[in-house]
Amino acid sequence: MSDQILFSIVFLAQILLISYYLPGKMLRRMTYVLETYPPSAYAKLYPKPIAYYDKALRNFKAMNGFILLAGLLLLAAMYVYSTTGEWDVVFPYFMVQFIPIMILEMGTFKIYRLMRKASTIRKAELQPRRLFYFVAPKMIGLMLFVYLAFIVFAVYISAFDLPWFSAFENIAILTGMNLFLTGIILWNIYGKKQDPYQAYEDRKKHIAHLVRSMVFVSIAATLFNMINSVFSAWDMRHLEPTITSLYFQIIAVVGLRAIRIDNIDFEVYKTDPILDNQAEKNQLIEEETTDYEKSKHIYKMVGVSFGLAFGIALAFNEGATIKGIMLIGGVGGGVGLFLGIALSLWVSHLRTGDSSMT
Amino acid sequence: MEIVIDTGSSHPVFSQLIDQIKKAVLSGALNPGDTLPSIRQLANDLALNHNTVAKAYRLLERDSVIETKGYRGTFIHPNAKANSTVDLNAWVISKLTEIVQGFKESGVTDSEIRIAFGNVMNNRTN
Repeated sequence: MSDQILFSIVFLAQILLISYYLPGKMLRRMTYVLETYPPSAYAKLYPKPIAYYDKALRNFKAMNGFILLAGLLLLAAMYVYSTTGEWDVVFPYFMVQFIPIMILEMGTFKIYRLMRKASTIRKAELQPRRLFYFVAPKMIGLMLFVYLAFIVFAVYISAFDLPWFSAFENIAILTGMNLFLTGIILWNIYGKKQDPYQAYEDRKKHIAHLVRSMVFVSIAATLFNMINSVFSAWDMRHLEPTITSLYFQIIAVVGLRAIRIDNIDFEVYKTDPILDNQAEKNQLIEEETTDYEKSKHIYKMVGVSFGLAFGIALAFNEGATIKGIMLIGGVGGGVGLFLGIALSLWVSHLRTGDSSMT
Repeated sequence: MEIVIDTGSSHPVFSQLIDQIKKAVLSGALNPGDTLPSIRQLANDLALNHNTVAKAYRLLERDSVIETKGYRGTFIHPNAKANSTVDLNAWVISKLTEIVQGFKESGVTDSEIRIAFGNVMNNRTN
């Protein structure tokens, strides 16, 4: 009974933190920016009409409200009907909680693309960027050490032939996760500059902030896996949902931290006084996608859909749990997305004869 | 040292890159031994094709304004300041002007000059 109460408290904290407190903070931040740096004076920050941003904020608020309500109802149902409190809902609910944030991120990328299209002026610093400019070598060393320690740990545990533990599966998942996080780090350091107006100092702060967060997530995920396995070995699997929920809350707090607004240089977004009707021009810019760019998205969508469907079908066929289905489906979707991107790049190469940078 | 490119300008982008890096060397903003970003990083930062930045770097290396040391990266050449004042394009134009003037004084027509120039560029002879 005490496990159920403990889980209920921790899961309630997850619901409130990720669907109420953190989104509320994000909404206040975005509203502050809209009010303090309005389109009339900072036209470069708003390639779309102000109504678009108002609608996006309203939708974000509504989605989080709905997910919060669903979470509270789910918690109530679990408390009333469950005898053990071990419903495998923590992971799927966490994925649902992240949907509004993912949609917001995708919208941000769309805005950045419009900002790049709005101006022919491009700026860059003639300074190389290296990984260790943004994170201490000790942190990377720690990340690698924890990962290698997990491999040793997994091999050791596998010697006991525990039916619920597969060393290969665990190592593969963690390796995939670390490769993914490494990809995000490298893309941010060496990849395309998303915001064309962003001051270089702000970009460095953003990269440093992101790199440190990803390194932390990697270390936390590896440690979480180890702790989970140890708890299972000690016949404490009833605590797994509670530990998992706590872990997701830590990840959410670290992953959704943002740089302080007063540390960002907004002067770079000021309307250019030389250009006439700059604000009006920006307000009127609509997203123009060529037929090729539209088909590029179709390749990706088809890839993700097939990958996801294939992964889910495979997991279902193998009798996987809900978590397993979501995991394998996610991996399938990721592979499908990769193949979709590769196909679109190959088509682009055939059409233009060189790879497209945009 | 910030570099600013206008992709809407009639001046080729790679040429803008070359001019700005040379100006930075002459003004002292870039000094011999300073490291430049990789082609990939600069291309991504400026949202340009790799080939455009690669061409600029290649021409700067030809002019001994920069030097590439393999995996270690790209650096400002020790004699970059002296070499940055040399404008190869301007030299080619002035030389060609002299030669074309000479041909015209000899009675060669404009179209004959163009055809001969094209043949020479394509390594063809009559």
